[in-house]
Amino acid sequence: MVTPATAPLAAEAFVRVEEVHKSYRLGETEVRALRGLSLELSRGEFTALVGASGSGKSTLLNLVGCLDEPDRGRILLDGRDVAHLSDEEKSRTRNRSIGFIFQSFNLVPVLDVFENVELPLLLRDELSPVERRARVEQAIADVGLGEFARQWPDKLSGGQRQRVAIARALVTQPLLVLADEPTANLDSETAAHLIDLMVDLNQKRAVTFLFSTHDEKLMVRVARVVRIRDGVTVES
Amino acid sequence: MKRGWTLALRNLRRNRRRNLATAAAIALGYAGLVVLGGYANHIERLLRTNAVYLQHSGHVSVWLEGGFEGAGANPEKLQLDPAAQKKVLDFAARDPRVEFAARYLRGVGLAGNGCTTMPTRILGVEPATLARIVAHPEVQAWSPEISMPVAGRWLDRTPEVAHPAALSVGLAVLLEKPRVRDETRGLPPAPRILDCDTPLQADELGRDADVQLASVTYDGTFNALDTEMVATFHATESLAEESSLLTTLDTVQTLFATDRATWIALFLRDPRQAHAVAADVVAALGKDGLRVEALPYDDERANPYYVGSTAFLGSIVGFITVLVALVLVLTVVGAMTLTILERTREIGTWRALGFQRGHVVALVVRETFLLALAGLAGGLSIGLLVALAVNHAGLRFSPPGVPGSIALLIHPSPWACAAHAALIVPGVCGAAWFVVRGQLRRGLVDLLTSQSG
Repeated sequence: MVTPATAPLAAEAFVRVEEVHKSYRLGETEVRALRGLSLELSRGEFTALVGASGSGKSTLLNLVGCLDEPDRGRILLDGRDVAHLSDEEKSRTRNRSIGFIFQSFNLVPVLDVFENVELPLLLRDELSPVERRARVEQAIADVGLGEFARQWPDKLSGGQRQRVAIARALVTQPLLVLADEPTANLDSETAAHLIDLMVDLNQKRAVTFLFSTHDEKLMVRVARVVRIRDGVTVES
Repeated sequence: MKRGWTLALRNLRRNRRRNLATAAAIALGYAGLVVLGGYANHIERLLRTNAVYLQHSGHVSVWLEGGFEGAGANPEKLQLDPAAQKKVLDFAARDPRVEFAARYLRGVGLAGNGCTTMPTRILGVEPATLARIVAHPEVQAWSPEISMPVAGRWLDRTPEVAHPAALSVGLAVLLEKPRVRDETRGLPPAPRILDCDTPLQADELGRDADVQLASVTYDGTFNALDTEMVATFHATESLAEESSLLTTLDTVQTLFATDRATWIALFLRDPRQAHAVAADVVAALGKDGLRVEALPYDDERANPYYVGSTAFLGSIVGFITVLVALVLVLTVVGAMTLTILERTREIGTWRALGFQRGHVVALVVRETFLLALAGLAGGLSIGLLVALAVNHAGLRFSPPGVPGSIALLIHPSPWACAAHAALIVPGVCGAAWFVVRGQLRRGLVDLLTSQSG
């Protein structure tokens, strides 16, 4: 078993969320997802966001991942206010600095495992085909799917698919990995293995991990737990 | 983005039935355009060949200034005299764009059978020119049927006849001359003086192929001469079917007691040079003190039937092309809307992984481009097969304004096929662009959390 991630590798705040508000409309109703939430993540930190459904976990991950914009407040990534980034710069930031792991894996069904993992690297003109291949093979090996590289996603189990998603998130060598309920569609044993894998990769690669979950059993495996309720942090 | 085409090709493997249906729609639409374009191309080439070669206007017709409008009323003054003819023929001989030139004399007169006379449009042509025209590759390729006499031999094949004449079938019927010269051999000779009021009249008239021509000469005296009907032919236009007579230039010059020519036709190696040659001949002869007017074959005054028919045909083909293109665009809009809706979450994933809007748009447009290419390839094959089948079926039809029937032939033109493809490909790719751009306006989170894809 992998030991829980402990202290961050550097003390400075790599991700800083300052008094962020975010509302969205659900039909006729306005939902206030975040109500002045603040949070700091250090480089290399492994953090779980815990909260009930609708507490604002996914909204926070979307904002930190440059997938959405806050109504108020600031989000600083490595010191840069993401509000000042153009759409193109946000795309580049997502590609180069952030890895995403989704609850439903979000693999492309017409691409095999290797090609799915390779996908974000297709935007990297500076990588030669040989370097690209080496990176993909390494990422697939790191998640223990070396022998499945040419399998189609629909031939894999849920846990294997999520490993592919993790490999895809890490293949770009990001500074930050965001995972929204990555274990929600997995059985508890597979979920535990997956968290262990993420912790292991966090320690090996010094990548900052922020993932959301409502599974309390997984809490023992992570160093830092941030609890969110009604759009604000209640415990960190 | 690397491997964009590979990804597009892979994506086409999804929803194969829908993609096949979309490609089939493109294929059928394009096949229809290939066939329609092939028909229009054949008709245009047929009409052009008729106008240029069989109506003898040439690619450029050179008239004395004012002659095109006024030669009929004032032939002595507004037709080309021998010196002018020589200047035009010398220009033609010098210009490498001109394949050959020919002189024509046109007039009106009466054609008679001894009992009745009919007003007739008489055209005089040099037999050698007629031989060259009938054997010309363009004529053999596009209008071989009309170039052949219905009965008998053309003027150039009857050197033994002093004044040979070819009559349009309708005129021969009106003159009760059912047999051309070759067909009257062995028949008892017709009486020298016909009794035009007896029941035997028709039989007597039909025993020989003699046709009398009468007209007023340019100096105002009356003239007549005997010709022999060596051939009958279908006029290239219905309007001329009952009044056309073709004979040698010498015969018409003798009839009108003149050495003039109404116009000189320039037959070019490349029809696209017609306007340039027309301008050059006017300028060159003008410098030489000869004022002429030159009409290209696509000038409405020179060939109103050709210009009007091709314009009408062009507008019909253009309208149907636009209609088919619109249907295809709407088909692709429908298919791509479904495709994009099904892949909404995936598009969100692409965007989350760093792909910009342009990357996603380019990917979908590439997919549509490949789909369109497949459809066009299929459509071209179907269209060519249909053309082959129609050309071998021996179907005949009567086009409006043309006497008799002609073979229904379809000759797809590479340029028309390319032009139709050039319209369809951007059309359907634009449709895909329109659909995917609309979807990409949605927020990224909205895309990622979509329930439809």
